[in-house]
Amino acid sequence: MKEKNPDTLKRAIGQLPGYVPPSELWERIADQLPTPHPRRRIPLAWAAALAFLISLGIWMGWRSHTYQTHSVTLEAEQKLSPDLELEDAVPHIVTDSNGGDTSLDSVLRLP
Amino acid sequence: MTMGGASFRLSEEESNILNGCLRQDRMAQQALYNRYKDAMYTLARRIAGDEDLAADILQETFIAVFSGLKQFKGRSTLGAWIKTILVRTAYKRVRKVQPMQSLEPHHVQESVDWGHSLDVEYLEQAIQSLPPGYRSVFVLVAIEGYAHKEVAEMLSISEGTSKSQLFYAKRLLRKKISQLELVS
Repeated sequence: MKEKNPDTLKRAIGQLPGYVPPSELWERIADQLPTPHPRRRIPLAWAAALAFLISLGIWMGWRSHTYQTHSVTLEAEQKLSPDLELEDAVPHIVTDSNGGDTSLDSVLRLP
Repeated sequence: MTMGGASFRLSEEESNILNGCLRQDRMAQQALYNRYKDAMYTLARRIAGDEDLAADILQETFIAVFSGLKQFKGRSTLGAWIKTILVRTAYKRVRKVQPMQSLEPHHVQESVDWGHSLDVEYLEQAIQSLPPGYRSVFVLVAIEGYAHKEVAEMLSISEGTSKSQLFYAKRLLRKKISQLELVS
C-alpha cells in the first residue's frame, strides 16, 4: 500500500490524549492479591499436640511452684515457732551410736 | 541490578520495587502499579475501545504481573514485560467480542492520503470505531511502534495477517475521518 503524507498521521498520533484509570482500581486489584504475610496453617494433630505440651508445661510450672511455696511456708513457720523442729515431722533413719545399729534395722530385723 | 543474566539493567528504585513485590509487600506493589498504570490503561483503552473493559484488562494484567513476577528474567525492560502481558490480556478479551478475520496479504495498488493536517479528536474517534482486529494491530504498530513480527508473536497471528490488518485499518480510518470531517 502506498501512503501519501504519512507524517501527518505520525504527527496526529503524537498528539493523542492519554487516559487515567479509575481511582478505585488499585483497591480492586489489592483485594485479589494474596495477603502480604500469609499465616502458615498448622495441621490439627500438630495443633493438638502443641496445646497439650503447653498445658503440660503450665501444669508442671504450677506444681513446682506449689512445692516451693509449701517448703517456704514450713521454714517460715519454724522461724515463728522455734520449738518446732522440721526434722521431727519427717520420719528418718537414725544411726545408733552404740553399735551401728539403726532404728530401721531394728524394725526390719527378723526375730 | 541485573537479574538472571539479564541484558537490561534496572534502576535502583525499580529494583527495590521489584524486590518488594517479590516479598508481597503491598507498598511496593502499589508503587509498581502507580508507575505504569496510566500508560498501560491508555493502551488497554485504545485496544479495547471501551473504558470499563480497559479497567478490567488493567486489573487482570496487574494480578498476572504480581503473581508471575518471579518469571521476569530481565530480557526486556520491566515496562515492556508488563506491556506484553497487557497486550495479550487485552487481545484475548477483544477477540472474544469479535474474532480477527484471517486476511490474506494484500496486493492492492491503493493509496491512502492523510492530507496536510488531521484533527486529533477525529483520529481518536475513528480509532475507537475500528473493528477490534484492525484496531489492535493499528494501535500496536502505528501508535506503540511494534514491528509486525512482534505483533504476530504477541497476538499469535502471522506476520502477513498483521500487515494486511494494518492496511485495512488505515484505509478504513481514512474513510471514517473523512466522514467525520464532512459531518462537522
